[in-house]
Order: sequence, then C-alpha cells, then structure tokens
Amino acid sequence: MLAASSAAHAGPAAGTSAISWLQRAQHAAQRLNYSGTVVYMPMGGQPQTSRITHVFENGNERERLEILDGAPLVILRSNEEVKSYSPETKTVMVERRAGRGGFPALLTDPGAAIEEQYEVRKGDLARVAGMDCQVLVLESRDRMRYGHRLCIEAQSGLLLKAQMINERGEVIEQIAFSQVEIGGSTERYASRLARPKSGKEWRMSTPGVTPVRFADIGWLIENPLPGFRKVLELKRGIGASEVGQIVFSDGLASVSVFIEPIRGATFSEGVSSQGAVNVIRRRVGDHLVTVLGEAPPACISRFAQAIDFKPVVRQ
Amino acid sequence: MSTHQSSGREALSCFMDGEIEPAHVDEVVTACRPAGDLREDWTLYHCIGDVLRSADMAAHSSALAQAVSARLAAEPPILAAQRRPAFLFSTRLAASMAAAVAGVAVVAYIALPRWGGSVADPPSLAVAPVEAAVATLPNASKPAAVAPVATAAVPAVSPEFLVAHRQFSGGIAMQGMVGQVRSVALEAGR
Repeated sequence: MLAASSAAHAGPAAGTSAISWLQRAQHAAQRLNYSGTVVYMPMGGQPQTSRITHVFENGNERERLEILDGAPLVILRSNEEVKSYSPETKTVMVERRAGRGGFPALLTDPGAAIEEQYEVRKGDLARVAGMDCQVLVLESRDRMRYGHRLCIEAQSGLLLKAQMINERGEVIEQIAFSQVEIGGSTERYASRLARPKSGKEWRMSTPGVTPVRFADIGWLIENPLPGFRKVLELKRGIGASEVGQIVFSDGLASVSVFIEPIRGATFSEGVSSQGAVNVIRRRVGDHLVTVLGEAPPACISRFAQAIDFKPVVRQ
Repeated sequence: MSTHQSSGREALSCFMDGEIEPAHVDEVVTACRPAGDLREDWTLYHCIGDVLRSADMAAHSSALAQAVSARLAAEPPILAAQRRPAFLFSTRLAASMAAAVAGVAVVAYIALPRWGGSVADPPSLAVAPVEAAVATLPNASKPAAVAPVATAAVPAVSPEFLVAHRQFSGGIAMQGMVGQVRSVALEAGR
C-alpha cells in the first residue's frame, strides 16, 4: 500500500515530539503524493464528500479536488494558481491563492508559533481509513480558540482526520479520509489529475475582490488576542453592497471582520451562531460590523470590542 | 410520510441522543422491536452511525446493514435511555442521511446555546435541536447550504459571509465549504 516514495518521510520515531508530528503533517500534505475520498461533516449540516488527488514533483504541487455532493465542481491547483470548473454554469474561476490551506494541510499560517497558543500533546494510536495513526490533541491555552484532535498516519505523516472540539469537549466538526492511497510515483496518479472537459462556450471569471488597507480609511482594529495576526484585507461585493473583509488567524483558527455601510433603517445587531460559527454584529458609526469565526463566543466578542472607526479627513 | 411516522422518527432520534423523556422510552422501545413501526429506522440509524464512526465499514455497508439487522433482532432492546458519547452531529446527521436515503429530505439543525447562559442550559449535550425548513435533496442543482439558525430577535447572517470567511479559514472549515465557496463565487461572477 505504501510504496517507497522519494518524497516520503522516514518512519515514525517513538520519541518524536508532538509539535514535530504537527510540522511533519503540514509538510506531508504539501510534499507527498496521495489520493483518496474525503468526508466533511459540518455541524448541523449535510455531510459533503469529495475526492482529492495531490502530487509533488520537481518542486511543484498539483492537486485536483472534486466535490461529489451537490453541484458538481472540480478545482485544479498548480502551486498557487487555482482554477475552479463548474460544469453546471459552464464557468471557470481563475485565481491566485497564496498557500493552499485546507485539509489535509491544516495550518493557515505555517510560520505561526502554534505552541504559544495551543498545548500540543500526543494521544493514543487510532485507526482511520484502515491505517494506524498517531493522535495529536491541540488545546487552546487561553480557551479562546477551539481545540483540535488530529489523526496523523504513522508512516507517512499525512493528516487523515481532523476534528474541531468546542469548550465543552464536544466534537463540532470533522473531516477525514474514508479511503486513501499514500505514496507511489506521480505517474500512478496522473489520470486522476485530469482537467475536466470544457468548451468554447465556457466563460472565465475572476473573483471580484479588491485589496484594501482599512487603516488608511480610519478603521482601527487592535489585535485583541495573542497569536492572532491580520492575514488579509479586501473588499468584495456581497448582495447589493461592497463589503470589506479583514481576516485574522492564529495559524489554526480564523476570524473574519466584515464592514458594510448601513443601508436604510433596518439592520440587525446582536449575537448568533450558525453551525460551528459564532457571530456578533454591532454598529460602528454609519457601518455595520459583523465579526464571525469558528471560535468560542468569548473570542468573537473580544474582536468585536476591539474595532473602532475614526474617519480620516481627506486633505 | 405520515405524521405518526415522522414524530416516531423524531422520538427515536431523541432516544438515541439520550434526550427523551422517561415516559416515552417504553413507546420507542416497543416500536423498535422486530415488526415495530420504527424497526427499519432503528437499523438504519445504527448502520449509518457505525459507518460514520468507522471508515472501514463504509466499503461493506450493504452487508453490514443486514448483519446489524440480524444482530438487533436477536438482542433485547435497551430499556434505559443511555447517554451516547458527546458527538453532536451523530444522530441528527444520521437522521438527515436516513431521510435522504428514504427519499424524503428532512434536515435538522443544531444550534450552540446562547453564550452567557451556562448554568441555565440543560445538562445533556448542551444543544437545542432546532428544526429548520425542509430542504431539497443533496443532489439538487444548488449546493446544500448550511441553513442559518438564530433567535427570533437576531436574524442570521447571509450565507455569503460564511462563504467569504471560509475561503480563508484553512483547515477543516475551508475544505468543507469549498463546494459552496466556489458555487457562490461562480454565481457572483456571472
């Protein structure tokens, strides 16, 4: 099953530290050849199945992700270039994405000092998709982020299962391979990386986002919690409005702050939750600010309180 | 689907989550005995639950269903409402999958409790199951969206916000919502 792959790591060392397992898993997601079926179970929603194939050759990553439930979708990635094919709408969306993120690459920010915010410890062995895995448990030190329980394949170091754990120790979301092949030559996977058939009538589109520096227009967001840093800020069209989005991440957890002008008299403030996501909306000046993320309510609350707006007077 | 059957399924689901009222336990157990109303559902829920918990079994699910059925027929029913491990989406998810399999789509949503209400919350799984609108089957033309749940006072945010967030979330959330992310983005790009 596990052919000797030139890119594979050596077998596990019994004394390998927890944090090195995490680093190994991140590396394996980017450097190994693998192909399998992934099942994602969101909180309170339908499970979603997808098929993923990933190869690493000559310093380049190639990947194909096909969504098997709902509207058909095939996403091809070549390093940072991502093309999403939608046979139903006959559209190809082309964009550049720095770093892949997404299972089995778990960390959004590989440079983040994960151990400063999370206690990382080894658990028992577990069996996932018929393979023996080392369990890693990540627990937030300040209880302001959700924990994770990871199952990392023992030989290759590939992450096979990830669970998100809330403050009460309950599993709230899960994603896992139900079947996977790891290792082997790139040729073996070549046929599974095929581009979907598209024709002349297909349209190409790009995401309608514009980079923005919100500090320049008077928005001040003091980083409310250690470990979080701003990773992205842009404007995008949502509904009839142009909405600003600022994303913060501590390497594992992410929080988005959305800013939109208040339209008309009706807007909603308050606290809510949708699936694993907690949401706070509050008015700041003439804007409605929405803070949301897969993080405990207290975390979202801290971000919501840390936002201020001082209109910049143009000279 | 008859009203009686749907309420029976709901009761079965609560029973399996350890949330049922003691007075209703007997009723559910009787219905789960061989030749009872809920027999097939009981089997299906267990089969689905097992499949969810063990990827190994996924390949053998049809044979498993028969094996589970035979085993359950032989065993006496569990009379005490046992608390299942805290796995929030186990039976709710199984319910929706079972319904989809049965050709009827019923989607149940689970909401986290309001924060600030720790002491008052019920001591069970600490979630209040909220039945949202009946959705269409998963392979309808639109992707299955996670229906938002909110209190009467605070409406849900637009799904596009969740999609925009998950595009950069990384990890579990990103992968999971990729289908919806792309679909919504492609729609917006039109």
